[in-house]
Amino acid sequence: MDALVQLVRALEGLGDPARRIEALARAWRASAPACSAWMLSLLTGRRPRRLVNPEDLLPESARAAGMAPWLFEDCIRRSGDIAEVIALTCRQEAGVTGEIPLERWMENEFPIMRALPPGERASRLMEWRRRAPREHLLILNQLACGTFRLAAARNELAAALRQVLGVPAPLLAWRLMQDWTPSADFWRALGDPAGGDVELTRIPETSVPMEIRLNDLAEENADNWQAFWVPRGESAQLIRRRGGTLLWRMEEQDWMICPDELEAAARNLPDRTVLLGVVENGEAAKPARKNTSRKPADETDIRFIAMDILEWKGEDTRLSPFADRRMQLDQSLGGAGALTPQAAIPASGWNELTMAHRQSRARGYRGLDLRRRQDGGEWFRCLADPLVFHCVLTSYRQESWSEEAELTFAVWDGRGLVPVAAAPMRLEDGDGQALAGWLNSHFRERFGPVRTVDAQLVFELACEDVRPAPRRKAGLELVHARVVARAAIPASRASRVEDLAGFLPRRSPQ
Amino acid sequence: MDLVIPHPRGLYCPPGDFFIDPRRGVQTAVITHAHSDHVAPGSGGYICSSRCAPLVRQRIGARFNIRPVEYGEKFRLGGCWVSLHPAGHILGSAQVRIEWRDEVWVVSGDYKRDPDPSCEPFEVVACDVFITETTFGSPLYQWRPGEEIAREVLAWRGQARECGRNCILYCYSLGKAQRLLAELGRLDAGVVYLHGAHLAPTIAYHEMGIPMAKFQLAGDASKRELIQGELVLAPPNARGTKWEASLGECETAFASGWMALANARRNKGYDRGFVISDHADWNSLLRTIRETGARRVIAMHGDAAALVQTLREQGLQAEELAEARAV
Ligand SMILES: [Zn+2]
Ligand SMILES: [Zn+2]
Repeated sequence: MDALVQLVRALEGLGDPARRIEALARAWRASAPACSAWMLSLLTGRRPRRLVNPEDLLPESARAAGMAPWLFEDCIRRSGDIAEVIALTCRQEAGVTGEIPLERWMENEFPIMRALPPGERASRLMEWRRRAPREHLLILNQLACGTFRLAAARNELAAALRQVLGVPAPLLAWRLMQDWTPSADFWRALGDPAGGDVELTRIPETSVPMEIRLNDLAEENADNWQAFWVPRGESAQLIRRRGGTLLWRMEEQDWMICPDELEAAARNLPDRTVLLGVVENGEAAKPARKNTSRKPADETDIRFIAMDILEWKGEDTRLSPFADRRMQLDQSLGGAGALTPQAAIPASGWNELTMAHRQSRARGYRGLDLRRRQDGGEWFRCLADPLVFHCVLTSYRQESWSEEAELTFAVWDGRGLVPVAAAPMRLEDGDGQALAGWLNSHFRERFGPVRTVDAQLVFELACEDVRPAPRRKAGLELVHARVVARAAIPASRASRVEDLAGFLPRRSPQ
Repeated sequence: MDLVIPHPRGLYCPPGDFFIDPRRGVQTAVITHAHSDHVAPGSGGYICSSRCAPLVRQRIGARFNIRPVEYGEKFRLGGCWVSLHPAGHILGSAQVRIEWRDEVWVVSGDYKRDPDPSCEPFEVVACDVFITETTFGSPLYQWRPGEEIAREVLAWRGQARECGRNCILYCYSLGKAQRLLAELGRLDAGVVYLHGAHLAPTIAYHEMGIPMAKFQLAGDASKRELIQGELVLAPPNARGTKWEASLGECETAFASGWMALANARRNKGYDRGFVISDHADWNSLLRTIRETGARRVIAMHGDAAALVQTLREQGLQAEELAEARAV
C-alpha cells in the first residue's frame, strides 16, 4: 500500500512522461508481485465496483472527526472529495496498524465488505479509519467509494513495465491483452522471459525508408528501381502464426484486433509469415483491449497494404532480392480486398516519376517509395510537398531545464480556437529569442510547465498530412507539423478547421 | 468600548492612538512581524520585538525610527499599557496585548502552536477579547510535526540524488525557509543551497543565533559551481525562470499549508507538495482561543466563517472582523 500511496502522490504533480515512467517503475520495484499486479490492474483503469455510497459515510465520518454535520459538509465543499476529508480529519487512535498490503485489501477486506448488507459496509470501512495509517485512508476510501482515479497513459505503463520486467514490448502488450486477474502468479507470468507466447509475438526488426528528394537519385539508372505509392495509414506488421493472424501497430507499439475480412484474406498466406505494411482506416479498430467497448473492427473497411515480406514460412527473407519478395507478394495476395500489395507505379524514367510524385497527394497518397530491385532492396521515400496552414499559437510547454519549447497551435472552429498541432521550437537563439520575449509578456495562465498565451500570433505550419484524431476537440490533427515562419496576418484570418478537413483521407484512395 | 477597531489603514486602537500592522504610513505603528503584508514603510515610529527589528529594517530600510521592545515589557501608548508576546509564527513575531482600564485585548498577529526550532514558542496570554488570525480556518488543515516533513524532504532529495537531479523546494523567503533550514539542521542534512532572495533573512537569523543547516548560495552567476543532487530553497517567484534553468534538470516542490489538499497540489504546477505552515491549524486555533479564556473572539485574516460558527456553538461571542469603511 505504501508504494501505491507514494505513486499516487508522485503522479499527481508530474507532467513529464519520462518522470512519470520513472515513478511507475519505482513503485513496482518497491512492491511484491501480488501488490504489483493489483497496481497494474488499477492503473489500467480496472476500478473495483463501488462498495459504499459516499453519502452513507457522511454521518459516521463527521462523528469520527468530532465535527458538526454542517462543518463536515463545509470541508467536503472545500475539498471536493469526501475520501480526502475523512483522511484529513478523522481522529485516529494511537498504535495504528502498519503496512497492509494492497492485495489484502483487494482480495480479502473488500470482498468481506461486499458480502455485508450495504447498510453495514460503511461502518466496517469506518472501523479501518482508526487502524490504517492516515495516508492509506484516502486511497482506501476512494477505492471503496469507486472514486479512485490513477491515470497513466498506456505508453507510460508499457515503458515502465518494460523497465521493471525486462520483457519486449510486443510480448508485454500481448500478455496484457489476454484475460487476466491480478495475482502474484499473473505478475510472475507477465515477466516470464520464456513461455509459449514468446515466439508467437516475436516482431522482426524492420528497416525504415530513408526520406530523400527525387532529385537525389537522378544519377541512378531508373530501371534498377521500382516505385510504389505510399499509402496513408499507420505502419504495422501482419503476422501469421499458429493458424491465426495478428496485427502489430508499430508506432503505438500495441496489438490491433484483426477484422474478420482481413483474417480471411490472410488465410491464404503460409504459416509463420510476417508482412510489413500499412493499415488503412484503422482508427475504428483501436484499441485492441478486450475490456473496452468499441465497435467491432470488422464493421469498417480496414485494409492492410503489404509493402514487404519480413519472414516467409519461418525464414528470414530480409536479405533476399527485393524483386523476389515483391513477386511473392503479387502471387499470394489479390489485387483488391482487405489484403493487397502496395500499389506499384508503372512509370519509366525519372521524368514520369517526377510527374507521379506531384500527383501523389491528389491521388490520396503520401508520396512514393523507391525500392532497388536487387539485393535486400534499398528503400527511399519521397514524400509529397508539405501542406501549409496558418495556425494561431495558443500555449507552450517548457520544462525549465530544456532549451526547446513545445508550442501548441490552433485553428478556428466557428468562433473558438481548437488545437491541431504541437511543434518544437528552440527559444534560445535568433527568432526563438524574440518569440521568448513575446511569450513572457503575453502569458496568461500557467498549468505546471504549460502556459497559455494571448491568441495573437499566427505561424505558417508545414505538415505532411491531416489525419483524424477522435480524442482532439478538432477531431483532426496535423501530422509531423513544423514551424516555417511567422505569418504577418491577424489571428482572425488564420486557417479554419474546415480548411484542414478537406485534406482528410477519404475512405478509399484513388 | 472596543479597544481595537478596523480602519482603512489597518487595526486601530483609539484609546492608545496607535495602529497594528498598518498598510500605510501612520503616526505610531506596532508591528507583529516582518512579513510584507504586515509592515509598510512611511510611519512616524515603529514598535516591534527586538528580534523582529532587524527583519523590519531589512524590509523597509534603515531610515525609519524603530523602537525594539522585549517580550513582556509593558510600555505606555496613550491611555493604554501595551506589551508584546511571542506568537511562534517567525523569528520575533509577536501578539499585541493591550490593557485599558480593566479590559485586556490581545491581537494575535500570525501565529502557530507547533514546535519550531527557528523561533520563540507561542505564549498564551489571558485576555477578555482575542483577535485571532484564521488563515487555515477549516478542520481540513491539521499539521504534522515539522520534523516529519523535514524527513520527507530529505527522502525526496535522496531519491533525486540517485538520478543526479537537484531538488528545488519553493517556500517563502522569511520564516519558512529558515524553519526548514533549522529542522534540516537537526537532521544533519549537510549543505542546503539557497536562492539569492533567501540569503539576507537567513543571515539575519544566523546572526541572531538560530541554529540551522549549513547554507550556501546556489546559482551565483559570478562563480557558478555546478551542483547536482542537492536541495535548493527558493522563493515561488523564481519558478520557471532562468535561475531555475541554470540548476539543470531538477525536481520541484512547494512547501505550504495549502498543499494539504490534492486539488491545490495538482494545480500549483510543482512536482509535489510538502504540507508545512507557520500559521495555526484548525485544532491550534480552537485550543488557543480556549486557553486565552477570552469571552469574545474576533476572527480576521482568512476565511473565518467556519471558525466563527464553531465558536458560537461553543457558547462564545464570536464575529468576523468587520470591513473598515473607506476614509
Ligand atoms: Zn506572517
Ligand atoms: Zn500574515
